[in-house]
Amino acid sequence: MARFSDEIIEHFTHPKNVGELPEPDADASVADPVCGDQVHLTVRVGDGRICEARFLAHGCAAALGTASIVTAWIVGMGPEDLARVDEATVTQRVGGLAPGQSHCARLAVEVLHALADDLRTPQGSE
Amino acid sequence: MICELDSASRLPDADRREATARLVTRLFAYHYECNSFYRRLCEEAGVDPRTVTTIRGLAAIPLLPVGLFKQSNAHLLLSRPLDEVELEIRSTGTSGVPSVARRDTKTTTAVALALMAQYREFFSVSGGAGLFLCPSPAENPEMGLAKVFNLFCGLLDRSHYALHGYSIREDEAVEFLVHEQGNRLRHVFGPPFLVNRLLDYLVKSGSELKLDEDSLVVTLGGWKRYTGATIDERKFREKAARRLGIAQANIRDMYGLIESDMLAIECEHHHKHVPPWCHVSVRDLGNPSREVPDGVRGVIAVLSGLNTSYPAFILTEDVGIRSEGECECGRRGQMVSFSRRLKGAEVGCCAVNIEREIDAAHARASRAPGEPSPLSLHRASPAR
Repeated sequence: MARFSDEIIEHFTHPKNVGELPEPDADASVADPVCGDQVHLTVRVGDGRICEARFLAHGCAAALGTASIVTAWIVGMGPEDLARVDEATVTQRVGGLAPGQSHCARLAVEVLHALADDLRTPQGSE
Repeated sequence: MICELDSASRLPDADRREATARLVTRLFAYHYECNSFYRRLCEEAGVDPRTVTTIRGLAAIPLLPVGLFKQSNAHLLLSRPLDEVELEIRSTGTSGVPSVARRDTKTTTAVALALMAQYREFFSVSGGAGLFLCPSPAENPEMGLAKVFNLFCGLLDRSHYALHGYSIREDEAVEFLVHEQGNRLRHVFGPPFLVNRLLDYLVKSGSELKLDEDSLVVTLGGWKRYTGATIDERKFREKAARRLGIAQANIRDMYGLIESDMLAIECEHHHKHVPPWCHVSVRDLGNPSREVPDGVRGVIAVLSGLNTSYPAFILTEDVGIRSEGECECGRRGQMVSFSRRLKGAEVGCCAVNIEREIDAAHARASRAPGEPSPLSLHRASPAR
C-alpha cells in the first residue's frame, strides 16, 4: 500500500480544526513514549454531544493527519460513543495506516477514551 | 562529489566554493519555485534566486528557524507533496516535542549516500565489531541519532546494542568487547554521556579493558546533559584514551542536526569538517540576518545542497564558530565548532532525551513495589 492514505494526505496538507478551544468543556492529551508523538484535544459539548473539537499535535504526518480526521469525526458523539472507538475503526476511518504507523490509531483511541473519561467526570470534582 | 569526497575535500578553495555555491543556489531556486510558504518568506526579505549566485551571496538566502520543524503546521515547510515523503526522522529534546524532518526519496538517497561516504572518508571502516551505546532503530525507528549511528552497521561485520528499552547494560557492553577481542577490530559508538558511563563502569568494576590500536570511539549528541551539567570534551578524550588504551586521535565527535542534513565529522586533529555539499554561515547573536566573519562566535546556520523535500536552509539554536582553510589533516574547507545552545533554547536533542529516559527508567526500577510513579508516560502535558 501507499505510505500515506489519501485521507491522511488531505488532512496533513489541509488540516481542519487546528488549535485549542478557549474554556473547553473537556480536554485530553496523550503522548507516545517511544516516538514522542503528541495529541491534545479540546471539545465543546451541547446536549451531551460534542459540537466542536480542536486539536494540537506534534509528530509524524500520519499522527497529524489522524488527529485532524478525528476532530471532524467525533462531532455529534457522546462519551459512550468515544469510549467504544477502537484501533480498527480509527484505521478504517483514516483510510488505512502503513506498517510503522499503527501507533497513530493507538494514540487516537487513547486520546478519545481519555476525553470520554473527562466528559464523564462531573465538573468541579477534580 | 559524494562518491569522491576524498578529492572534493581537498579541492582548491575557489573550486570548492564554486561547487558548493552551485549546489545550494540550485536548490534555493528550486524551493523558491516549488514552495509557496518559502517563496513568501523570500519576497518579504526581498531576495530572489537570480540575485544569489556566488558563495558570498549565500548569506542572503532566507533561513528557516529550526523551531518550525516542531510546529503543528509543519506541512507548510514541504516543497514536495506528502505522498513523495519516504522517511520521517525526528529529534526530541527536553520539552518532549519532537522536531520532524520529512525526506522525499531523492533526499533520503542523497543523505544516506553522503553519510556513508563521510564514514568511509573519515574512518575507513569496512569491517570489525561495533558496540552501540544508543537505542537501536528497532526500538526507535525514527530517532535521528539512532538512524545516523545505525548506518555504521552496514560497514561492520558485527554490531551489538547495549541499550534496551532505555536501560543501559554496561556489563553486557564489556562482555561483547571482551568476546570480540582478537576476533575483530572493535569500535564504540554512542552519545558522549553514555560512553562516559561505560568508562565510569570500568573504573567502578575494576575491569581492565583495552581496545585495539585502530579502534575508534565515535560520539554524537552533544556534551550538555539534561541536568545542565556539561561533559568536558578534552577531559573525556583523555579519560577514554586512558581507560580504553587507544590514541586520542581515534576518539572522534560528530556534530549535526537532522533538519539540516549535515554531519560535521572530526578528523584526527579534532576539527569538525563541514561536508562540501553544505555551507555553514555564522550569524550575529543579536541579529541573525547578519553574518559574522570567521572566528567570531554566533548562531550556526546550515545550508544544505542535498534536500529537495524542504528548504534545508536552517537557522539552528546552536552557538559556535566557523573557520575555513587547510586543516593539519590535509582537508580544505569549512570547519565548525559548537560552543553552546542559544540562551532560551531547550537543552539538546535525542541524546539528552535518552539520558533523561534512562534515569527515569532507573528510578522506576529502583522504586519499591506499590510506590506511585512520579512520571506518567501516557498523559503528557498539553502539546503546545
